[in-house]
This record gives sequence, C-alpha cells and structure tokens, in this order.
Amino acid sequence: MTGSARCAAAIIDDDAAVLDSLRFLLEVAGYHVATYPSALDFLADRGSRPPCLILDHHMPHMTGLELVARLRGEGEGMRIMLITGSSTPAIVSRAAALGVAKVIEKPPVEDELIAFVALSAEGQPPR
Amino acid sequence: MPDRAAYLRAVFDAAPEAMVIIDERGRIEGFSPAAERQFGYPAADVVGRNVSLLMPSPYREEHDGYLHRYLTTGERRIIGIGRVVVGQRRDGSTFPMELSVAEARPSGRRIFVGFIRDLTEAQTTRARMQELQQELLHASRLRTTGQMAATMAHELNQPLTAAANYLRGAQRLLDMPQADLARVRDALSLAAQQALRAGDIIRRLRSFVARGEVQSRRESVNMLIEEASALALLGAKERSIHASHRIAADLPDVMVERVQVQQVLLNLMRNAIEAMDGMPRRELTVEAVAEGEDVRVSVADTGPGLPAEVAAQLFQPFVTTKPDGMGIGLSICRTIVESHGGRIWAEANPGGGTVFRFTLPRVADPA
Repeated sequence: MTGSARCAAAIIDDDAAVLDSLRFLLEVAGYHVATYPSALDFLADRGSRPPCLILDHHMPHMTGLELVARLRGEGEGMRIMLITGSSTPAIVSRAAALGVAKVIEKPPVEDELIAFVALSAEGQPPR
Repeated sequence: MPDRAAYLRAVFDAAPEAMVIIDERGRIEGFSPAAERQFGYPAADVVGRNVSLLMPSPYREEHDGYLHRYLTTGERRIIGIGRVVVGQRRDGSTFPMELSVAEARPSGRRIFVGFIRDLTEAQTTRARMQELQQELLHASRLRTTGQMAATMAHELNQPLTAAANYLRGAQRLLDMPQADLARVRDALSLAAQQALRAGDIIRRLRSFVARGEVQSRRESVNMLIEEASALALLGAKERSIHASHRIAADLPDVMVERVQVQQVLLNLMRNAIEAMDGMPRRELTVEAVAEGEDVRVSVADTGPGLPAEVAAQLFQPFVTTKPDGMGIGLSICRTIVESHGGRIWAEANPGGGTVFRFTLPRVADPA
C-alpha cells in the first residue's frame, strides 16, 4: 500500500469507492498497490516509483491525460493504463500519442487489469 | 379652426396608418389612401362593401357575428384594446397587422374607425430573431441532453466499477485454499453499498426528469392556430401563399403547454410553405375538428408530396430532405405531441401535396 512496501502499481482515481475496490482487487490478486485520490497527490509522493500506473481520466484539477503528458514531459517511462468512462476517439489518439499502453472503459475487466499489473511487475515490455 | 371638414380630410389622407371607417353593420364608409396601399383596393371599390373582405377565413365569415355580439352585449374584444390580427390583401395574400378600433358617434350615428399598421416588416425581423432563438434552443437542448446522458453514464459507472471490483476480488478470495471469509464478507457488503449508490443516482435522475414535465393549461385551439399562423405566414406574400383556416365551430378546448404546441404548428406550417416553393398551386389549409376524445389538427399543403422512402422515416431524428436542415423539427414535433398524449402522422393530400395531422386530448367538460 502507500508507503514503504515495494508497490506493483500506483492507482489514481477521484472516486473513493472505485479507488478502494481497485486496491482490494489487486491486493487479493497478490499485489501491493499505492492509491491516490488525485493526480496532484500522486505528484506530491514521487518517492516510490511503481512500475505501472493505473489512472482514471475524468478527474478534477488535473485529468488523467494531463498527468500522463506531464510525466512523459519529465521523461517518466512507466507503463500506464488509462481507465475512462467514455473513451472518445480524441482521448484514444491522445493517449496513444503519449505512449499509454492501454485505454480501457469502465468498468474494467478484472483479468485485463491483473494481467497489466503482472506484466509490468515482470518488467516485460508491452507487446 | 379653418374649414374643419377639409382639415379632417387632409389628416385622413395623410395619416401613415391605414384608416378604415365602418358603420354598425360592418359596411365600409371610409378607406384612407394608406389603406388603399396596404390592401391593394382603390377606395371606390370597397366603400359600401362589408369590411370582412379585408380578412381571411375564418374571420371573414365570423366578423358580422363579432360586430353583432358587441352591439348586443357591449363586450369588447378589440374596440379600445387593439391586437394583432391577420389581414387579407386584394390579391388574396395575408399579412399580420396591428389593429386598434375606436368607436365614435358623429351626429348620433354609431361608426367604428379602424387604425391599421402593417406589421410585415416588424414581424419578419422579430420572427427571424425568434427562429434563431429556437434553433439555438433546439441545439442547446440536444447538447444538454447529450451532456446529461454522458454525466449519468459516468456517475453510474463509478459504483458499477467499484461493485464489480469488490465482487471479483471476493470471488478470488473464495477460490483460495483457506478463504478469508471475513474479508469476503466485507467485500460483499461494500459491493452491496455500491449497488445501492447506483440506485440513488437513478432515483435522483428520475426526480430531475419529473421536474421537466409539461405544465399544461386549458387553451383554445382557435387561438393556438391563429397566433402560430400569424408567425408562420410572415413573408407568405412574397411566396404568394394562400392560407385558410377551417376551425370547427364549438371546438372543445385542449389541455396543452401553449408554447410547445405552437412550436409544432409553426414547424408544420413553415415546412408546408417551404414545400410549396415553386409549385403552381400554393394553398396552406389549417383545419381543426373534434374527433372522439381528441381534437385533430391538420396542416395541408399542395406541395410535391412525400416520396415513400422519406415518409417511412419522417419523424426520426437527424433525417432531413432540406440541404441545410438538422432533421430534428419533426422529431421534436413528435416528442411534443406524444408528451401531450396525442399522436402525429402524415398522409398524402388527396388534391396533391401532404397533410400532417396530430391529435390533442380535449378537456373533459365543455367550455
């Protein structure tokens, strides 16, 4: 979870229930994850560098894609999965341009989610 | 004052507003030069004739009745009040006009003086403004609906996502050799909370939609049609449209939201007028009859008629035959009519062209 343990993934979602349920699911699957209620909270806690980031696109203050753009601008190459309620062509193409590995629609499919974290944890490049 | 008669004559001749003087039986006694210009008749042709020839149907037939009612009951509907009515020119075309009527009793006789201002210009401007406003309203309504749907989808997706995650996690826990049942129970309880949260969102949506229900009031069909046609017929002279109303006598009132139903009428009449562009015969007939529990309104044109493939999907949104149309007019008409408990359909006009008909539920008790 947030803190010292080596995290498999960081999760950012402004909805407390979604965030908590994602953490629960990934923990049950055997992964430590760090959770953040906003992009700014994540940026404030850059000590831990998890191998992957799962984030909601529709968030106030800073959207998921805005955060991705900022991270990429800083040369951050972590694998990123963007979860969106409605993936428009604009979001998909912007995400692709920013090197987002996967864009999935809510509700996310459990296997996809776990496979993404597993693959990132193994340090394998996306295929 | 010098020669009083000559003085009054000069005023009568020079007044920019048309003046029409009638006796108490409705016969024209005076017809000013401005009136000659507005209606297209030389004074000599109309003096002595019934003033109803300056009005289109159904007012033409009813005017003697109005006059008689005033003379017997003294009940004023227009005298000293003034209102916007429709006038008919010599060539049969109609135009909106502002009419005020004064009553006078020179040497014991009773006469009525009508002052008439042609509103074609003023109303064309206003109508264009209104049209633009309506277009904006339509577009923004559509956008609002779309935005609301997107917001709802997002709002509902949150608890559904959370519930699915908790349940999938619980399932995984149960699949483990030593299942931690306390953790499973917690997860199931959290999932149930999220399902209830989704239900709350739907309830909120429902109460929001309910607030948007129509505020119906008792309205006269005649008045609804009269006002909508005054707007729809702007510019009808340029297009040489001959418009007539056939409103059944003793038509029951209807329970409707006036503005919405007039939007339907305006839309159908405008469509009808556009459909007749370039046709040899351009007759717009608006009819209203009582039929069982309903009042049935028809808007008939003598245009080219509807091709079968267009007729089939006439009321679908975003289907249009107009080069610059959005294809939402008729679908909005249908939404409005159906929200009032009526139905709308189109038929071929037996004499050529198309008839759009719609029904509105009549009020239970007679007026």
